[in-house]
Amino acid sequence: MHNILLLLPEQLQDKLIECCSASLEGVEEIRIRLGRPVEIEMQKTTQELDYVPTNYDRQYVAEKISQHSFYSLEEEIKKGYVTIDGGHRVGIAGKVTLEDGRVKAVQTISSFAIRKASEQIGCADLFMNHLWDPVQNRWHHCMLVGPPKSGKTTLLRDIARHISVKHSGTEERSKKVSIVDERSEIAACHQGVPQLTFGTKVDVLDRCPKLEGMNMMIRSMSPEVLVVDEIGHEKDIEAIIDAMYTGVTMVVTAHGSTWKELRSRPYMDRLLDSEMNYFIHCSSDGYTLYKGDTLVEVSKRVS
Amino acid sequence: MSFHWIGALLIVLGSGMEGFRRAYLLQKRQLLLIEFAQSFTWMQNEIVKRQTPIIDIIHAQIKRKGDTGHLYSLFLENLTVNQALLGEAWKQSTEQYGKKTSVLFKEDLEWISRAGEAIQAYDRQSIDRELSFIIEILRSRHQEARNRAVQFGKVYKTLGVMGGVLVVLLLS
Repeated sequence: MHNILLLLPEQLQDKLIECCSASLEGVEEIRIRLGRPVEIEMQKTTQELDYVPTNYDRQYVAEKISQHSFYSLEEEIKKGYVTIDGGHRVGIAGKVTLEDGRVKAVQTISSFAIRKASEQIGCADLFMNHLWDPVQNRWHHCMLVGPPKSGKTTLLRDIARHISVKHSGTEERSKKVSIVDERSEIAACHQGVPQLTFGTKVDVLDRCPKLEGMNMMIRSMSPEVLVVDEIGHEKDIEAIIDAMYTGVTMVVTAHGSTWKELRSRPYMDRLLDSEMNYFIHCSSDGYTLYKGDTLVEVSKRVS
Repeated sequence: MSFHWIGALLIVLGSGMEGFRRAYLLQKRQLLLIEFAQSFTWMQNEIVKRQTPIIDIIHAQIKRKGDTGHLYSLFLENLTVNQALLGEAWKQSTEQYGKKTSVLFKEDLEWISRAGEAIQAYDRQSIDRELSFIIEILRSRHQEARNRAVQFGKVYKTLGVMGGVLVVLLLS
């Protein structure tokens, strides 16, 4: 949270501390909109601060996230957000300029959405014994399913951390993990370096498109486990099935409120009918692990 | 008698030196204007073509000898020590610099000060456009300063010396 506070003008910092001093760590997102009150999003509530940002505040935040060089972030801005020190993400909205019909740069900024990188070390621990296959000495393929903000990426990150760490007594479970992080969400890289906690056996391909990234990682890094976020397109699914054939364990996430909804999507049934047997349903209440249709384990979320 | 001669010599010398000083200021102004125009062109290229972070640009500019280097070191201080924003820091720096120099005109400093507003834009296109405009203005002011230096430099020098001689003659 300290890194986020440093981005804010002093007055706004004071207001934020005054409003949420007891639950500052519970803040998930800060929305700063020019001329409208600042919004603080917690796990289940949203609070409005008695503070309306001005042009000065906008300039302050823009300069702080870019070390006074906002123009140097053009590539990141094209994707709509910037990852800052600590792995937090700053989303940006405003007026863009186009070149050949594509976004070239942001000309004026009207809103910032500062999203805290949430890392819950150990949230996957309960499932890891079930996901380990002692017979084949490898991890099972696993898919995490849930609606937005249900904690899929948080769990995925912890699974990657768990697998890449050497735990005493179960060293054989520690495997080489490659993460294809198209949106810098899993490892929250800042200048290519993961800002969140992982083991020693992690390689991250940051901001690389999934399809290309998966192939690159398989060819160059010989991963034992490949971690990919938010799959959905036909080609993603084909690439995942191909990767599974090469012997790589796939741990992936997909958007979807329910299981049935996922299955109804085109091409997704191919993946669901493949070797992918373990599914974790994510919701704001917690995580539920299934093997096929059978419930295996439930983990309640601690707020 | 010799005291008279020494006094006359001092008057001519003093008046002549004032003439030379004024001619030097004219010459120095045109040099400074072109120096600033060059430094802004360099900064513009670094920003637009290489997206070099501003702090790196400032560090490189500080290495320049003379007044531009001094202005950039004031800028760095305002930006990092005083934690000012880009536009504000540059404005403060030009004000601090303006107090120390008598070479540049007020309008010259106002144009130099506008570079701060230019570099605080969010996109390179706007920065490019604004800096090009400022550079263009500085170059035209340099041209004007050069003409003025050629035109008035000799006049100031001659007037300085002749003025001194005239005063001596009037006093004798």
